Amino acid sequence: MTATQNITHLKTGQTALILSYQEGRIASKLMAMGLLPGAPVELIRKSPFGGAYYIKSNEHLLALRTAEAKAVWVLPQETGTR
Amino acid sequence: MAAPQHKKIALLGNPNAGKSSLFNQLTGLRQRVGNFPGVTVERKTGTCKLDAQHQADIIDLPGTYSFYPSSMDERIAVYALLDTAQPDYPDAVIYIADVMHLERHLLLLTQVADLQLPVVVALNMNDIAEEQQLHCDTAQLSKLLSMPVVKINGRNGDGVAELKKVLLQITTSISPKLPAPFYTLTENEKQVAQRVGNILPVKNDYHAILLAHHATKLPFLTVEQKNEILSVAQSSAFNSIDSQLEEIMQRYRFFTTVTQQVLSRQLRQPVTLTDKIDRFVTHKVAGPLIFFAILLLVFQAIFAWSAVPMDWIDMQFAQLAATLQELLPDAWWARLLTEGLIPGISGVLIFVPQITILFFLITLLEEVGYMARAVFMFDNIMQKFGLNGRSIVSLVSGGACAIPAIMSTRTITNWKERMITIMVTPWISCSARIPVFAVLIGMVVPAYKVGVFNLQGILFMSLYVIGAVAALLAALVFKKVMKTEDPSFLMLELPAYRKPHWKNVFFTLYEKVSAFILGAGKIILIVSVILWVLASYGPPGKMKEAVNVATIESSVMQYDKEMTENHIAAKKLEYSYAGYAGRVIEPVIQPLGFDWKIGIALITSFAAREVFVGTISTLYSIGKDAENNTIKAKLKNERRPDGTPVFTTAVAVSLVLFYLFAMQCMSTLATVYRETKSWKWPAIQLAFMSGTAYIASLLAYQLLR
Repeated sequence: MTATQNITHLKTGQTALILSYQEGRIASKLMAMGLLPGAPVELIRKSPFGGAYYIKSNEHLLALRTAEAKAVWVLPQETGTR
Repeated sequence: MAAPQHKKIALLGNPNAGKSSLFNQLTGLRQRVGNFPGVTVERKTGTCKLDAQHQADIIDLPGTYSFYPSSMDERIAVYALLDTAQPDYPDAVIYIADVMHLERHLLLLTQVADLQLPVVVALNMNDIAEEQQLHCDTAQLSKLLSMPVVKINGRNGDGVAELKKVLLQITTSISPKLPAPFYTLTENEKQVAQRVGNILPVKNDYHAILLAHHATKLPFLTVEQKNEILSVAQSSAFNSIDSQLEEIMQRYRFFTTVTQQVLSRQLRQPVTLTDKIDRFVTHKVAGPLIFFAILLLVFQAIFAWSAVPMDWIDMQFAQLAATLQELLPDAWWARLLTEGLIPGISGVLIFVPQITILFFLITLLEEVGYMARAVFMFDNIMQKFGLNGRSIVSLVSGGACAIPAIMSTRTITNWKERMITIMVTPWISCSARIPVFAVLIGMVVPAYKVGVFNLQGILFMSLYVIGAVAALLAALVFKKVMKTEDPSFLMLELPAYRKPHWKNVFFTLYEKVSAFILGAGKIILIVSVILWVLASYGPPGKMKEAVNVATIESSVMQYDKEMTENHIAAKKLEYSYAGYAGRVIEPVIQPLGFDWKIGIALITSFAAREVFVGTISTLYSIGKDAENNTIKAKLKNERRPDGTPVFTTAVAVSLVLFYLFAMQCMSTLATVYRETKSWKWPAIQLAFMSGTAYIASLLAYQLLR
């Protein structure tokens, strides 16, 4: 397993577990928003014009920019169905 | 006014927790807007009656997720709680938490409690939670947190009476019971906290460590204090980011046990109504289409619904002025009233219908949760221009009027992105440009059709497009030259869709419309009075001379009564101070193809573009109520002293471009001042917009003539 999977590597509809963060400032903010290591995350969809990711974690919906999504290291769980 | 028992209570919570609903429930219309000390962000304060004898000031702090803020808005909330010396430092805190997101809302709650402030938890959204079979044991929660917890409903006001009772207890007790600190500082943090405590007075170690985290940005510290704190942090090898992460992790370990004990079930991920809606609303193809359809509807609504009240206001004021003109003697004060003040007030109120409708629709879209989706979809495109996803809302609103559009940029959290949006929005063609364009286009382009399209209509459309493209290009330029220390983040919460809360919509509308009338309105009124004076008075003796000359000329030309009156009005304007100003600026505007008469119109329409048509009509003795066609025909026949026509195609194109680009709107400048609290930004805006207008007109005229 390569330890460098992040949210941008997920397929639409795929879930994963958050492992850790690559960047402190983004980590601080995302953790304050409830996205903690160990929490599940699902990629709902990508933005129509690219550049942003719509994710869901514990009934909580968030939009992240590419740079922010790249800063979240994840362990992919199942393959996306949608 | 402030009785001894006038306690100060801060209202704090995460974004989307229902804070504004609760604020409105607690304070009603007893709200006022002021400034946070030292910073230029508006602060809302309201009075709340706790019981017959006791009142409290409720301070509405901007929503934030933690004490480690990323946007200007969030910083305000945190700094307000760290500046213990400020006169408005709260005596207690109402913390609003959403039961649906209890775990992550505990973070900020325990942070503020660790500042040794008495806190009451207002637990919101219980109705939605119950619907989803999520029950919360508030007694147990209160016990675990060692602080009062009250279930409330921000929408219908349930539980607010109970909340007030608890607030009264807390604020009147001499030493309210405080919970033990939730966070245990690391050894390194304790050491730093002790040393910071030697520099300035602190409440406790946690307060001290927060000062160390934010030292460089805190507006209330002196430069020496900042430097001392920084050197302490450096010599102790204090790493702010590591310390933040450690703190958040440690706190969350406690939250997990709390939620396990108080919530009837753990969170799961069902497919909700929001998921279903978002499958369409954020869809790759349908999403943008839905967005543009909504925009079109909003746009249509602004024009269709506001026409009737705007005409009505216009007519009422015209009638009032006419009636007063007949009743009052022909004195200067009567003319000031009927020709200066009344049209001035009318010029302010005429915008109210558009502003109300636009803000109503935008607030509605915001309330139901749609706006966050639009931001998600367009953030990437807007970013390429140095703007933010939210800028698209302001840019579209600018199609009606730049004033509400600029006011709506408050939702943009990044300072630079907000400033750029404010700077470029006035280039979107607003409704005040329509009458000017209509006259000028009609003059140079015949009304024939190309296929199914009307040639004038196409030109009209292209002016809108040129404005929009220019706005985006200008944004690119600002993106290059402006600097900010504010990193740009999206990290946006997409709230679950919900029914609009009408009370919130009403309060927001009330706040924004009254802000416009009292803020921008004052300046429009003052400027229109000044312009009236300039256009009605001239150097001593000159005005009488103007009347005499005009009367003699009229009798020579054998004008009828109406033509004579028009001719006198034109001559008076020529000899007025405004007329002189027109001649003074003539050398500057000559390269654009404008003569001194157009110069007068440029000056009088500086306050508001739509005045151009009226001034031109007066100058060329057309009469106040002439139809557009009469104005066009008359202007076409206008000659210079050497016999060449004044309004050639080159001049008309030059004028159109000037009105498209120039900052000819005092009210917008006033609004920019209000929003940025500095004259620097309106000054830059005036210079770059009018500078561009000058160059565009110059090029157009020199190339076309």
